[in-house]
Amino acid sequence: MKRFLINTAIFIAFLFVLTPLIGVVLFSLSSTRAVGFPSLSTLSLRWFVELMSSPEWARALISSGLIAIVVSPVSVCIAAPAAFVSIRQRGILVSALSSLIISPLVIPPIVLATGLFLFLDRLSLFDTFLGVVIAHQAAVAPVVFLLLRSRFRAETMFLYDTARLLGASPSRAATTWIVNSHGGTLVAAAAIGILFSFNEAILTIYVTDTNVPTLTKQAFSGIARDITPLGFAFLVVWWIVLLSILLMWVSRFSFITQHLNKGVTHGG
Amino acid sequence: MDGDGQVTSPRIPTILWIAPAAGLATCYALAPVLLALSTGFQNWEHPKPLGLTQVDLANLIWDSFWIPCLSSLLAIAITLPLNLISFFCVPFRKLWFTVLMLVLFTNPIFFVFVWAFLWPWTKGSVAVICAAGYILTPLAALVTESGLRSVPMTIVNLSRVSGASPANVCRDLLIPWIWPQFVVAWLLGFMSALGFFLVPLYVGGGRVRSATVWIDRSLNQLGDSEMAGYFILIITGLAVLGMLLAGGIHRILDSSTAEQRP
Repeated sequence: MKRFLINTAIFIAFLFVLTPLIGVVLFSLSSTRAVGFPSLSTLSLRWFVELMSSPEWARALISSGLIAIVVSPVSVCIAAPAAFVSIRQRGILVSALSSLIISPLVIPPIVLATGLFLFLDRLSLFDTFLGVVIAHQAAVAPVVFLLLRSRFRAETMFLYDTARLLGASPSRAATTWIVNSHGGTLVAAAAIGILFSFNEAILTIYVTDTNVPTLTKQAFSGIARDITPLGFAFLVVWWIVLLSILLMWVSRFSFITQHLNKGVTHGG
Repeated sequence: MDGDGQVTSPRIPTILWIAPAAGLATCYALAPVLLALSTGFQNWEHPKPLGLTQVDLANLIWDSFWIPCLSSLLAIAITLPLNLISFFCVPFRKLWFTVLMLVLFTNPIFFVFVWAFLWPWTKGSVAVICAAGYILTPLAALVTESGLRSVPMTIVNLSRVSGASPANVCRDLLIPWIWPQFVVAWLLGFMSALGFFLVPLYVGGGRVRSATVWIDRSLNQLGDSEMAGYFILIITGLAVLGMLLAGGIHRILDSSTAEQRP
């Protein structure tokens, strides 16, 4: 009886997590204009076809891509040195500054969005490409900082210390340690930054009007204003992209592990 | 060039490397507060009435508090059994983390609408708690998972070899080990849920009072930046307090349980 209760609780918990995901897929497969579950007769790929052929969505994709391409490398360039200092240096000042860096993640998005809206409006940057880049920076840089810090913390500082002992300046030793030892990590952090930038919506909704479309804003408008399943179709495509990235990542990782293991076995 | 003919770069203290990121974050964090102060609060001695009665305001603050509290608890209640199973069962772990990644990298606004369309008859606090709890699931799962990763597998394996069932290992070893993570997950979830405004707006169907909805309403409908400023200060203050508490409690609990750990 006890076992049955535990299994039921687990089943309900998993169902709770899965139901909205299944709901999105079903909504996107409906051929009707109103959002709802499709019957067998109304099952179609109409919204996917519309998504692929729409010039508005193509414009939003290009715009989102450009924003992400600017935001992500800038975030990595700012966050990587900060992450290095936060693990290398001790003291109240450094821990206070580290907390400050992640503060945009702590502040509720609506508060951040309101502040950015008022701020960008004063600088005449409301509804401009640069304005959106500045807004996305707030969402992406702290995430990249956290990722890099956790990665750097897990690594040995042996190379850095050796370089310092051999006479390299702190900045040169640190730059070499970050770039040479963590090139892959920097690329991965940039990729995650791109994903976060693509996914950002609330800040974009607040700091733009019609000039700078982004994918999530377009999807939000589609669902909230037009109430059509087009936004859900976009979400399904987004998930397919995410799953592909995840699969590629896992297979690449397992390939490298196998390769290394083979090398170790052959070597000795 | 130095004496040996080597090119030397100017010596910049590395601590300054943190300055650009910290400066940028300061601008982002302070911008809302400073702008709220500069646009709204020009008359500190006689502040403009908020247009809400004391009872309204008390209800608003109470609703803004208890709904995030329960949402965060729900997220932990959902993720705990699934995380514990994934600890023992590798195939389920892969499935669970794939689902989590999908939820994590999907903007919460989509789930807000999914909830609103899936259960259109459920409006009100319960629906808001369920929807917010769902959105907080990846956060709670990742924090709990970080605790589970710190459990030494030797002890788990020893317990299993000694005849303890997975349920016993969970009850007597894993849950006591990771309970500081529960507190941190709850606080982080609470702080995140404090900032949700599309959830009470769309899922709540206008019946749920929330400070964030009032920020949006006062800015976009009433054009009253002073009222928005008050709520911005309240929510920012609560969020910062939550962050400090999360850090402090985590340190205290971690150090106290570290002494008791085998």
